[in-house]
Order: sequence, then structure tokens, then C-alpha cells
Amino acid sequence: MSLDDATVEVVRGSLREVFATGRPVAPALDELGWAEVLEEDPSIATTVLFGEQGRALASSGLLADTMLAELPGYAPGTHTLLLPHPRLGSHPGPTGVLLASTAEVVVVPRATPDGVVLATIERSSLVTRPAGGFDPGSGWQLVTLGAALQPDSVPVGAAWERAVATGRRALAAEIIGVCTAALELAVTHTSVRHQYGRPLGSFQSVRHQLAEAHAALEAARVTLDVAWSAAEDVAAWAATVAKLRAGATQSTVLRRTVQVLGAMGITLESDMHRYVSRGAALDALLGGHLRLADEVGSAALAGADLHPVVTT
Amino acid sequence: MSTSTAPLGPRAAELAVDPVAYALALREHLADNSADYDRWRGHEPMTVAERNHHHAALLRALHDDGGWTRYGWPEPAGLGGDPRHRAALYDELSSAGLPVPDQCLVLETLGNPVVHFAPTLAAEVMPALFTGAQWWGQGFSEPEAGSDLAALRCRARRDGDHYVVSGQKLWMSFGATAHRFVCLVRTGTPEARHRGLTMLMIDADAPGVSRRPVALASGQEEVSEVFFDDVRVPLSRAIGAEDQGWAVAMYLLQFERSMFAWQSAGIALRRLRDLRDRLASSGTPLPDGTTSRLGSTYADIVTLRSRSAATIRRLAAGDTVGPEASVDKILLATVETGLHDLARDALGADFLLADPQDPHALDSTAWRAEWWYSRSSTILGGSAEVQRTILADHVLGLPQESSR
Ligand SMILES: Cc1cc2nc3c(=O)[nH]c(=O)nc-3n(C[C@H](O)[C@H](O)[C@H](O)COP(=O)(O)OP(=O)(O)OC[C@H]3O[C@@H](n4cnc5c(N)ncnc54)[C@H](O)[C@@H]3O)c2cc1C
Repeated sequence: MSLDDATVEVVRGSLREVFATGRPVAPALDELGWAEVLEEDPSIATTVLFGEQGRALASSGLLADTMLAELPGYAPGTHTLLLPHPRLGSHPGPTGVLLASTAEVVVVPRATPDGVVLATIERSSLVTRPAGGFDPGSGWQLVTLGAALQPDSVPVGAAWERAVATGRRALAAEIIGVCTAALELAVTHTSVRHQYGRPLGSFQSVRHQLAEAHAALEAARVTLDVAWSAAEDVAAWAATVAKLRAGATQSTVLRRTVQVLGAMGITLESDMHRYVSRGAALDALLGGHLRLADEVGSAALAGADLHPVVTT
Repeated sequence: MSTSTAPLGPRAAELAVDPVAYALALREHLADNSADYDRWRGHEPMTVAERNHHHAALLRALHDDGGWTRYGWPEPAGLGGDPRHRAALYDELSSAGLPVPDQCLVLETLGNPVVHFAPTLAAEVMPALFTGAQWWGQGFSEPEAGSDLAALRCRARRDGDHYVVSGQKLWMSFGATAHRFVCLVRTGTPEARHRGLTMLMIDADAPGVSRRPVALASGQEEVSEVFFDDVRVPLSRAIGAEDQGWAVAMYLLQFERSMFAWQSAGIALRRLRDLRDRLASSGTPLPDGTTSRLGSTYADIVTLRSRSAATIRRLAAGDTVGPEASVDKILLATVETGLHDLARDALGADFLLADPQDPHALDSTAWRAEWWYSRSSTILGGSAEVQRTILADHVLGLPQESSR
């Protein structure tokens, strides 16, 4: 099944309202009957949900919930997932990032020679500190596990790969939402503000920078669409490419949208800085674009199939 | 070739309505007859004219054993189907390690307007394209009319039931060997700009036509200058109505920007595989950054394929593709420049110094020529800057540039 365009717009409008009010997202989604929407069309539902979260610069535990849904046995709400620390790339390690969530039990992934294993741990026993840093609004907590890790780890096999692919597609959608809003802000600003007696947006260099941003954004959108519809055997690979693409897009788009705002673009007064730091933060989760490019390139040199991924 | 004597398989009607079945059947054909197609694999030193003829022979082979080149084009010249058939042909050739024939690059640009605006003419002139017996050149650019195409001056005046054409075209791809030219000429006044233009098909062997090849920096004569000295062209060779040439050119651009991108993406993936194989087996350390550039170039190709596949599906559904096709063109240029810069940097000394006479260095020689050609991806068919201006104007709706 798939949602028709009119329904998608209604859903998008409701989500935009939810995020605008700033109230907790999970209960609001339940009120909207989100589970049904998701079942009807996971690709559009997820893309719209995370796109709106990105546009609103909201933070929530939705990413962890979405990934947990691929890992049988854990209930979002009571459980949340510890995401691998960006420093360690996409391989789960002993420390990680906890998203904004009220769940009491944390699912901890860990890479072993036999694949990824999962353990659960009480949130109250974790040592955490607010991430702050470049994106103070992320709502992330940095987690140090130390000796607290439970020994009763269970192997998850291919489910982990699916969870990461789902997470990467969701993150790509969120990055696209962030960039869309940033580009809208830049287009409005340069259409309204005048210098030399002309709108900024009538200067060719400004126009071309924003056109490049638009092309990069469309590139990210269509690569994500393809990742959703990719055949099962290339789904993880296509999700990696979509996340790589979105990460590269945020770098291209936000560099340009900041530039055309002049000094205003790097102040606390304009929202532009929040798009920039959120874009960077989301890029870093589950593999930043530079790291993923390296991974794909290494796989290629090791003989991986350079798969065409999409046909007409 | 296979033992079948029938030019078309028994499934022609089925394949014509099912692009996926067509793609699979073609894949099977290319695999079953792989050895017969070997002469089009690898690199042989050739001039552009030799390459044009070599590729024409590939079209002939594909045509004679299954009619594969005719799908996706309307009857009677073609076998029916839609742009997805053509996209599948180019893709299957690339996947099989074969070139996309030079002729197809031009065919995708010019075939569509001829079919759409001049169906009778199409029925007459297109069969020879599918067999590789003939190919066409695109005559738009002139010395004084590059990005500013509407400034073109090559004139056509009416004389009874003929036009008489005088003037010059420049940068025509394969112009030195093409059998016919599709030219945008001025039938109105120069002041009328784009309102005074007409699209005409002109035979290369008509009296008064002369041509001179122009070599790119690689030494390859990819383009030509063509001169018209009172060349008589029957009125029936007009594509679209008189003075309506601009609309024809705009119609054609949607195919030029998307199908050309798709062809190029298939070719780029084939060449990236070649490059990867060569780098992986070279045994020497790779320059810094090569691995991640390989990864990003591959991702760029997947993105280009994703975008142009979506555009081609829209064309197949009968949608008009407007200014947003400039995105396809920008993504194409990203792939072309990225891939060839990667090859140049990663092959390093081989790229710079390999001896063109050395039969073991043909791949390096080919990369060199292709590197020069790749620079045209930000120039031809509307430069990178022109594409960005189109997006700024028509998609983002930014304030107009005042100095235009
Ligand atoms: C390999 C190759 C094959 C070709 N094949 C064909 C063919 O088969 N048929 C055909 O008709 N033509 C063909 N062309 C010609 C091609 O379409 C033209 O080169 C192109 O339209 C640009 O024109 P120009 O080269 O005169 O550059 P110019 O128009 O002189 O542009 C030079 C530079 O100035 C920039 N510029 C120009 N105007 C503006 C502006 N308004 N704003 C900002 N920057 C601007 C351009 O972007 C470019 O960087 C081919 C070209 C190449 C390289």
C-alpha cells in the first residue's frame, strides 16, 4: 500500500504542528494514529516524520525507536537504543550517544568477532553527561559504560544491519529536512534584503550558490527514495549511499546558505546557525559522509560489486 | 551471431510493451552471444571517424539479430515502447562492458523532436539510424552564438518550395561523418531573437555544404565546423512550423538533459569499474584520498542514476520535464568531472606519461582523451552557469538578474 499525495500533505501538516508546539513527540504520534500510517507506507511515513523533525530542529528519541523496531524483543517507550559514538564510526562500541528519551532500559550494541551482540542495562546505572558541544540543542547524552555492561549479550545477526540501514535512511530524511528549511530561509532573506540598490538574490554569485544548494538537496532526496525501494540484497548498501549523499549535501547546502546571509548567518539571532550545527550532528551519527565514502571506497577496492542500484 | 534467421524474436510484441522484459531479454542476448560482441570491448587506437564507423557496426549487429535498436521508438520506423526501452538498451550495453554507440548520444537529442514534430519525415529517415547506416549531427551553436543560442545567424530564406540556407555552424559532434544535420536556422529577423528560428533537416551531401573537423586538446576530432553556401532544402524538411524552432529546441532539451545523463551514468559506472580493477591490482600504493574519492564518485553515479531514472520514468509517462532537468545536468557534470579527475590523479604518472604508441598503455591513453572530453560536461548543451541560472530563475524563483 502507499499513501496518496493528499493524505501525505495532511500527515505532514499534523506533524509540523506537533513539532511546532514542542510537546513530547511519542504521545502526540500515538494520538495521530501513527502506527497505522507507518504500516501503510513505511518509506513515506518515515521520510515525512524525520523530515519534519529536521525542519523543526526538534530532538527526540525517534531515531532509536525506529531502529529498535528492527530488533525483535525491545519495546520503544520502555527501551531506547544506545547509538555508537561517532568517534567509533558505525561499529558499536562501549561508549555511545543516548538520544532524548524517557525510556528506563537502554539496549547496548557491541561489535564482537562474531557480529553485533545486544545487552540491556538500566538507565539509572549509566554515567551520562549532556553532549552540548557544537549542537547544544541536540538533546544527546554521552554515555560511558565502564564496567556496568551486562554479560548476557545476545547476537542479533542481520537484524543489526537492517536497523542501521533504517537509521541511516531516517537520518538522511532528517538532514534533508534541516537543509530544506535552511535553503528556504536563505531564499527569503536574499529576496528581501537589498544591497547596491538590488536584492541580494539578483546577484549571479548568490543565485548560483543557492541553485547549487537546490541541486544538492534534490540529489539527496532522490537517492533516499531509491534507498527505500532498493531490492533487499542491496538495501543496506543503498542506505549507506543515501546517508553518505545526505551528509555531503548538508555540507554543500549549509556552507552556501550561511554565506549568503552575511554576518547574520553566524549570529545567535538567526536560526541559520542551528541548521548548521544540527546538520553536522546528524551527519556524524551512524557514519559521517567522509567516513562512509572511505568505507564504500575500501569495499570497492576489496572487490565489492559496484552495484547499479537503480534501473528505469 | 545466434543461429536465428528471423530479425525479430517471437516475443517482439510482448517486449514492446514491457521494458523490463525487454531489458532481461537483451541481457540474455548479450550474454549468450558475448564472444560475438568482443570486438567492441577494450580499447583500440582509433580516430573519431573510425570510432563512429566501429560503433555503427555495433548498431548493425544489435539491429540485425533481434531488432534491439528499434524498441522505444514509435512505429513504423521503431517497434513501439517508450524511453525506458532506450534507457535499458544503453544500460545493458554498459553492464555488458560495451560502448554506448556515439550515434545514440545524438539520436536521443534529435530523434525525439523529429518523431514528435515531423512524424512523416521520421518514418522516412529513422530506419537508417537504427541499422547504423546513417547518423545525424546537431547544428545549433555558431561562432557568435554559444550560450546565447538565440543570437544565431545562419539564415534560411524561402525560395518556392525550398529554403535556401547560408551561414555557419560550429562544434557539431560527429559533424565530419554525419549523414544529416538537424539545424536551428534564422527565418525571421535577428531582432526577433528566439521567435524567428526554424528547425531544419539538411543532408550532408547537399550541394553547398562543406565541413572541417576541429580537434579537441586530446587530438581527437570530436566536433566540426559546417558551412552552408546557398544550400537548397525542401520545405518538407522543416521539423515543426516555420519560426517555431525555439519550441522544438526546448522540447528536445528535456531528452538531451535527462537521457544523455542516463547514458553517461551507465558509461561512467563501467569506467569506474575499470578504474577500480586497475587500481586494486596495481600493487603500488595509491595517492592520498583515492579510496574515499572512489567511494564518493561511486555514490555520485548512484545519485545520477537515481535522478535520471526518475526523470526518464516521467518522460515515459508523458510528463513534460521543465527547468528542473537542469538538476540532472548538474549531477551529470559532477560525475564526469569527479570520475575523470580521480582517474587522472590516481593513475598519476601513467596518465601523464604513458606512451600513446605502447599497446600495453591503451587504457591510459583512453583515460587521457576521456579526461579532455569530460571537461565538456560543464559546457555543452548549456554550461554549468546557464543551468544554475535556470534553477535560480524558474525553480527557486529568485529575483531576476538585472544585467540581462
Ligand atoms: C565536446 C563538445 C561537443 C559539442 N557538440 C555540439 C553539437 O553537437 N551541436 C551544437 O550545436 N553544439 C555543440 N557543442 C557546443 C556547446 O553547446 C557550446 O559550447 C555551449 O553552448 C557553450 O557555448 P560556447 O562554447 O560558445 O561558450 P560561451 O557561451 O562563450 O561561454 C563561455 C563561458 O562563459 C560563461 N557564460 C556565458 N554566458 C553566461 C551568463 N549569462 N552568465 C554566466 N556565465 C556565462 C559560460 O558558462 C562559459 O563558462 C559542443 C561543445 C563541446 C565542448
